[in-house]
Order: sequence, then structure tokens, then C-alpha cells
Amino acid sequence: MKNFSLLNNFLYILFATIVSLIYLPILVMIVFSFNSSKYQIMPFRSFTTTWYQRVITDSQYIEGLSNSLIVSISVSLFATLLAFFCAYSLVNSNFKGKSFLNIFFLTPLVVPLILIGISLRFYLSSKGYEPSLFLVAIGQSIFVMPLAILNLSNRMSQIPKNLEEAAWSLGSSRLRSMFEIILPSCKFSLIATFILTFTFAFDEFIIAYFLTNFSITLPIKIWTSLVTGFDPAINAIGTIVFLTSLTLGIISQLLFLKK
Amino acid sequence: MISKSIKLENINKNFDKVEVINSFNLEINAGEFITLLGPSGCGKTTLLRMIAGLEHVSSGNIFIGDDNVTSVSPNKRDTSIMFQDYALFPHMNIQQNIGYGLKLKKINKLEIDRKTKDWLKKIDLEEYGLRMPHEISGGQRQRVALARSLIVEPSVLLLDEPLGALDANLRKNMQSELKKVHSDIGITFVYVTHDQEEALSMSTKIVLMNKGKIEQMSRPVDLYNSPKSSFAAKFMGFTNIFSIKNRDKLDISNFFNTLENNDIENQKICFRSNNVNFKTDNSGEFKVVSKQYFGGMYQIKVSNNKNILINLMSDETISNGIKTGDSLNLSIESKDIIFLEDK
Repeated sequence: MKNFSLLNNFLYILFATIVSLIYLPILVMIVFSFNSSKYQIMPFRSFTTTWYQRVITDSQYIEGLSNSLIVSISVSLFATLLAFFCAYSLVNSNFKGKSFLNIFFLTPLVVPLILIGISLRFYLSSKGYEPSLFLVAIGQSIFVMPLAILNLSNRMSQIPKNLEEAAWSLGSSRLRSMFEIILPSCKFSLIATFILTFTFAFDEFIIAYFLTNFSITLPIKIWTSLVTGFDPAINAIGTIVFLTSLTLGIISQLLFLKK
Repeated sequence: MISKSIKLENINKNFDKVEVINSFNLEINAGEFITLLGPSGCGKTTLLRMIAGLEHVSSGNIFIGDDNVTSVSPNKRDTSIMFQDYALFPHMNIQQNIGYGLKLKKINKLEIDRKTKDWLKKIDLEEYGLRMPHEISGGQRQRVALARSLIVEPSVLLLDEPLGALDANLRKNMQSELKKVHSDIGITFVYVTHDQEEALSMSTKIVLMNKGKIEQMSRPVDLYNSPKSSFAAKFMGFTNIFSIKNRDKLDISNFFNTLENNDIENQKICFRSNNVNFKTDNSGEFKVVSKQYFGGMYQIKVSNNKNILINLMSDETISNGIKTGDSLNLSIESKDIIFLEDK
């Protein structure tokens, strides 16, 4: 028993270390976003919201934010919609090479993002496309598709097959039953998938960095501000992004539980 | 409603090289209540799904009425199917569930509303139209599923163990309700079940299936009283199935001593356990092995020195005094012995 409790304590410490490694820097960032000092050093001077005001009045940040919003919303809408049809065919049909296709759809999850970025950049510019936010949207759609397909096919495989069969037998066509029977049953998963893919696309940096040049997204703007010298406003924007992602992430997980 | 006949012509079905249905031929008359009966895995559900169009045939033809529907998709067939778990649409209320088939037929809203209300009244759920499927009981769901299938006025209703999920009491009620519906509307019913009692009490004809083939097709009375094979006999509850050497020289007074355990070459016979008469007799050849109470009845197992194990069923007033180890003398009337056609 004594050995057990020793091991238990060790595991607790390990767990605490991992959690603090992940969240401590974020906590520091949040704390300093309210610190009036220009330098990121202790002690904490006094409470201020100056950095937040700076962020919302800085046209570059606002532009980055609106670019990011436009791209991420289009990416998540497109990916969720396409993933719905992919998931439907993966779950409901039985064709040769289905298991291969299943794996194929999920490969972008394991391919390093930098490879997706570079290869798309070379391929698309060889086809005469200039780097732009549109290309970013394409690249990020590839990146979030596996997640969307995974989530939706997971839900769809829980829907009893004979719901659709009953609809067919009553005279419904396949297309109609897909929209009238399957779609409503996936309602919450669709919203959750939309939110989840949105947060992934919104935070994404590498693909975006390779595929755009003049119009930049928020993560790129943050990175360039860091390169040119530290600006405490970054703490503020980081806090906003973190809290938004966290909230959306929690909402999407709750929606998945609701089905 | 118009009732149509069904004809299955030389149907074969393979799932990944495993043969499920094997050169299957069956003609079902319009208006019949036919039951496909058999153990699980005998292919009865596959057959029903093929009639509905939910499963392709590997080869063969399916006719509904005069039309060859072999390659017609399920939504274009004149059939309606009911599942064991009812498959009510969870996001629609009861009224929308029942009216769904009419909505697909582009019938105007007022008409759909009127017909749906009619059906709600018929199934005694007038007040429940706005409830969701998970807010009503199993028996009620079953009636909703039935109404949803029948409102589109199919010529054939296909039922896949629709009573399987109900408890025993409700099942009995539903059996008679379904039978009444059948005689009221007169369309063809094809019913799948593994429950012989259900099949016997509801159908006009039973198709007993075994390994993708028809084992026997008869009226319920005939299947119950004269099974043709030992498979059919077992399925109809015969627990005493034996072989005898010589059919022509059957000696009824010495019948039980001529029985042998099943042997491929000999004539097979069977008899019901309640048709055997017995009395205690010290010189009797059969000894009581076990005795079990079945509510009003005792099942008594007896055996002789040739290891022939016979099941007896008798009223408790007769068998009360009998104990394990007692010797019994058995007798049977020749009309109660059924000759089977197995080889």
C-alpha cells in the first residue's frame, strides 16, 4: 500500500507539472496583459487596460482580426458542409477501397503543416495563383477536413440504419432522406464541428504564413509584431484569442455530448 | 387499399461469398398473412428486406402484382416496412411521423392533416399527436409505426419482428390487433418472426425456413399437427423425435421398445409429450430421470436401458405422486405418431 501511495503522489506531481507547463505561460500572459509596465518583468506595477485599448484602436490588428474571421468562417463552413457528405458516404456505403479512402481522408492530421504549406504554395503558384487569403482558406480547409469528417462520421455511425430505410420505404429518395432524416439528427454535431474547425483555422499559423503575402491573418500579425520587438499589446490580443478559443472549444465539446 | 401478390423466382443471395438464400421460390397470394418463420440466421429477414428493396438480390426475380420490381428502388415499390425497433424519426413528433409518407407524395397540407388525425384516432392516440417518440411507451410507438406504414396505402406490408421488443402481455394484445388490422384492410402482410406461437396464432400460411431454403410451407394447423421433417418438428415444439426400424410392422403395444435414437438410415417419427399415457408399474421399462414443474403441468423425463430419453407432459393431478426413480409403463395411440420425411 505504501508503494502505491508513493506512486500515486508521483503521478500527481507529474500531472501538475504537465498542466502547469501548458497553462502557466498562458497565465503569465493574461496577468501581464493587465500590467502597466512596458517590460515583461516582475514586479507587477499597476492594473491597466491600456493594452486592450491599443489593440482595438490599432488598425493593423483590426485588419488581421477581420481577415482571420473571414478566412476561418469560410473554412469552417466549407469544411463542415463537405465533411457532411464525405462522412455520409463513408458511413452509409460499402464500396471497394472504402477503408483506404477512410485513411486517406485522415492523413492531413499527421502530415506536418509545413509540408501542406510549402507544397500548396509551390503547386498553386505554378498554376499561376498569387499567394492570398483565398489560398490560405484552401490550405486550412485541407487541414481541418479530417477533424470534421471524424466528428461527423462518428455521429452518423450512431444513427440507426433503419431510420433512413423506413423513410425510403415510405417513398423518400436517398437525397431527401439525407436532408430530412440524417441532417436533423446531426444538428448538434454540425454546429460543434463548425465551431471546432473554426477555432483550429483561427489559430493556424504555418499554412497561412506560406500562402499569403500582403493581407495577413491575426496569428501572422502577432508573429511579425514579436519579431520587430516586444509589444505588451500582444499579451492583450493573446488573452482575447485564448479566451475565445477556450469558450468555443468548451461549447463545441458540450454540443458533441448532446449529439 | 389494393392488395397485391408477391412472387419470388429463383432468388439467390450471397454476402461476401457466403450463401444466405439459395434458389428460393415462393408465391404469396394477394391479401394473405404469410409468416416467414425460422431460427436466427435462416435468411428470413434478408428475404423480407429484398422484397422491400433494401437488399439487392444476387440473382433471381421479384414480382409485386404483375410488375417485376427486382431492380426498382425501395421508394418506388408498393411496399411499406415496419421494423422491430419501429424506427420512428426522433426529431419529428408523432403527427409528423405518421404524415411523413404523405408529405413525400406532395399531398396538400389540409389533406395530410385530416388523414393523420384519422389515423391518430384509429390507433387511439388522438391526444398524443404533438408528443415526441421518446415521450410515449413501446406499445404506443408500435402503433405509430403501424399507422405511419399504412397511411401511404401500400399493397404489401412487410413486418420485421415488430413485436419483438414488447413484453409478453402487450405482445398478445398486439397480435390480435395486427390480425384485426389485416382483416380490416385486406392487404398482403409478410411477417418475419422466430416465435412459433406468434406465427401460429396470426398467419394464414407459414413458411418455415432453414438455412436459406423453405423447410415446409403449410397452414398453421398443418404445420403444427403434421411437420414433415425433424427440423420442423423441433421448431413446432416436438421434444420426442426418434427412429424406428420398420415402418410397416409398427407394433403399437410394443412401440416404445422399438424406438431408437436418431439414425440417418431409418424412418423418423415424432410424437407430442402430452400424447403419451403412463402409469406406475414396477415391471415398467422406463425409469423417471427428472421431474420439473411448469405451472399446472409436470414435465417428466423417462429413460430405458437403451438410453432412449422420452419427455412426458402431464397434468399435475396425475403426476403428483411420481418420484425420480419410479418405473413407468408407457402407451400411445397410433394416430398420435407422426411419420417424418427426413432421410
